[in-house]
Amino acid sequence: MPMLHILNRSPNMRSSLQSCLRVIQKSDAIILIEDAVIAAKKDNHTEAFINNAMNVFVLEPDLKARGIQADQVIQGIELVDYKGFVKLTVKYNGVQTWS
Amino acid sequence: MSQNKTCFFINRRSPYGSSYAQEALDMAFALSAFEHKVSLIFMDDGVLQIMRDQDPSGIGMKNISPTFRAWQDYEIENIYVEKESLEIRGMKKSDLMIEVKIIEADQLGKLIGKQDFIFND
Repeated sequence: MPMLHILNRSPNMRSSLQSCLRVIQKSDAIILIEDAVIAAKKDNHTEAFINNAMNVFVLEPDLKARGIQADQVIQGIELVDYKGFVKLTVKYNGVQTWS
Repeated sequence: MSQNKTCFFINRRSPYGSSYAQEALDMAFALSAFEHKVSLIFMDDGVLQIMRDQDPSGIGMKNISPTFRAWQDYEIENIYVEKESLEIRGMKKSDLMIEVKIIEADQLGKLIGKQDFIFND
């Protein structure tokens, strides 16, 4: 059953991102929100982990709040707005938050 | 004992995930208004506090970054950024909205040894 994994903490303060990436299945998706959007920035030190993941989304209003522009986001990560976020929660069978 | 103390802030939290950034800012201004010598450094996720072009209107929060520009009017002694914190986040000096001195962790270690008070979070 494909699941949506929600990450909301900075990848620099906790290991939630690494733990989540160890656990997720190929058909799952990840969405980065709140301070977790920092992980979506190009050249950040967790980029290599993210590059190995499939179906990664990031919440655009949280990126904009932090001054991270769309062209600074790692290639392959898809930007979504709040509506897109809601759609993802409907599309996947379950939702799991890694705080 | 001298009246005016040296106060050093080590700002290590991102700007919108919690109220730490705003509260440190308020405290720095208050201390400066009472003529203490305030310096600060942005370290760890704290470097994101001074990222340029912040726009939190979409998440219903107040933009804290314009406050940093007001620092010219207050007598904030020195503003530093720790080099490695920028590098591991893929950030450059040109991503920052204010003029800062970039220093190494070892220099920071020496610097905090000279302060009367340190606020670290």
